[in-house]
Amino acid sequence: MSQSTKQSYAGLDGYEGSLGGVTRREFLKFCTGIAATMGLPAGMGMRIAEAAASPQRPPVIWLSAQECTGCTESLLRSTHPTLEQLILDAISLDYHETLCAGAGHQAEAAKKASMEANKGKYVLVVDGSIPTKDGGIYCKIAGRTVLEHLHETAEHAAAIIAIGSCASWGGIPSSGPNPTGAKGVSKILTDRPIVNIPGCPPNPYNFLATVLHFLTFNRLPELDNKARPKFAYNRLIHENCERRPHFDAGRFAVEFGDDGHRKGWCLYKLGCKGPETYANCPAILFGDVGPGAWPVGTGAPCFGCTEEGVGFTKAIHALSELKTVTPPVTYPRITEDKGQGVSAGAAALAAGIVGAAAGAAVVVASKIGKTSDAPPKAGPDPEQE
Amino acid sequence: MTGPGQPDQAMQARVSALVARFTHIGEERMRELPIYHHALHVEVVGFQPWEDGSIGVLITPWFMNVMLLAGDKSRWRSFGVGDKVVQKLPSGEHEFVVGEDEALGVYLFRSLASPMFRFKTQAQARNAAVVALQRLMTAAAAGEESETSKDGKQIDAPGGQDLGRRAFLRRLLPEDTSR
Repeated sequence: MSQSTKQSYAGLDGYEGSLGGVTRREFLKFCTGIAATMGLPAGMGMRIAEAAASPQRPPVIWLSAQECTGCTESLLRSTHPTLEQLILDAISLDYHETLCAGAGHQAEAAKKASMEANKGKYVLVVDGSIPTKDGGIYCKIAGRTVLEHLHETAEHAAAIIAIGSCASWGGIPSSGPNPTGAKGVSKILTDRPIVNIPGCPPNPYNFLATVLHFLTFNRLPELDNKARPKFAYNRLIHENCERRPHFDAGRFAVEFGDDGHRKGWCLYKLGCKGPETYANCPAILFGDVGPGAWPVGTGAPCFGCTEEGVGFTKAIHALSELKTVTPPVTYPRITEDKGQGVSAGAAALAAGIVGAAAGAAVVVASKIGKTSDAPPKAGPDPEQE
Repeated sequence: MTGPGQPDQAMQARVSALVARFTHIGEERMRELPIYHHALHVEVVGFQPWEDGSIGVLITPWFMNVMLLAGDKSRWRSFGVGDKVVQKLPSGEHEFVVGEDEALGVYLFRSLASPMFRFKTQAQARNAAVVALQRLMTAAAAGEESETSKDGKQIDAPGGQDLGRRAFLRRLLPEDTSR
């Protein structure tokens, strides 16, 4: 056994039991799933496990601006009893308004101390939009505007992640008439690379996978032109939707509760924004409760929460408008190079990662699976081949 | 079996039925919708025998799919519409979705595109269809085969390797720990 492997196991052994009963098996399964979610080869799960189990946990400072705490709730509201411990123990959450034990001056002092001690090393996570109108007075923490907090905290951050649609592009606070001049983080910190993980709420696995990627490789995952991790936002919801066969065959629900709606037909005519929204919802689902656990799966049309200009902007009932800007170069690849795509089984494992512990993996796997298409934007031009 | 060839007569009839049926669906149900790309029409591309059925690409003004038709029409009847199943093709294993139409019966498909506005002309769509099908039906070079494991339903993968969860997880272990 090599030295490095010994070390990795030593790390994992130390990890075992320290997480409220997560076994090494479960933990490895989790890390493999995270690797699969990101489209990494299966062997990378081990590296992620090593990084996550390392005593050197990256400090995270979490700033909440104009938000509803939904992002935090979704991160914590997983049915797996130990997921939150995994999150909180894999990283060192030094400051989070909702989750920190301290309050008032104590909390602010803890934040300041962490920023000092971890200068240039901490990950800054922001949820909520940033009000900019009237000097940003519409959101204040500890007597200072969140705008000030953001600039101050961002200065020495190693990486900045905007979680949720509000932090990514403004979200609901920025929808008309936008009384507070709400903006996304990347519109404020224009000179820094920001990772956007939009969604309302975003899928916690997309956030976790991004953080673990940073932890493991010391760099952020590959991003699309809206700074979203490609592993999560490279396909239209419509392309992966389980109701797609009904769309193809022209079977639509036309009214809530009608025959077609009850039969699970396509929701396009009810205003589903799946054809113009990029996200992996139909592949990884929400809440770890098995098949159908996402809006369209429950009969609610996608309203485009991840997509700027769609969610909170277009009328919910309005027919999805289709982008005509996409040139043929975006044609998706049909086969996948090793390490780029997610195999059906691996994705199913990712999707059912928590359910797997409860023996639900097979059920989930039969319904879910991310296809192995590469991002449309990265696809080669069939015209040129 | 992997080479292109002419599907037998019965299969040819079913492939033509695809065109007729989806043209009808287009006229009857899709034409008025903004997702309908009026520059395109229904066309089948590259249909060839595969196992007991055939495989090819179906282009319509609202989607483009790789379509798998089984020789035995009852073959996939036990699956529900929207179920995902893995099929082993020369390029590796690929996830297909179960589709169904009252006139055509059950078929498997894999989405290549929808909406179709990325294709300006029928020729562009056809060209993409040919490339996609070629990729699917060409054996990947050694070491490039898509890494796939199966945890759930797996059908129609005769001779496929053991892709159960245990085998999958075993592959994660560093090699030197097996000593």
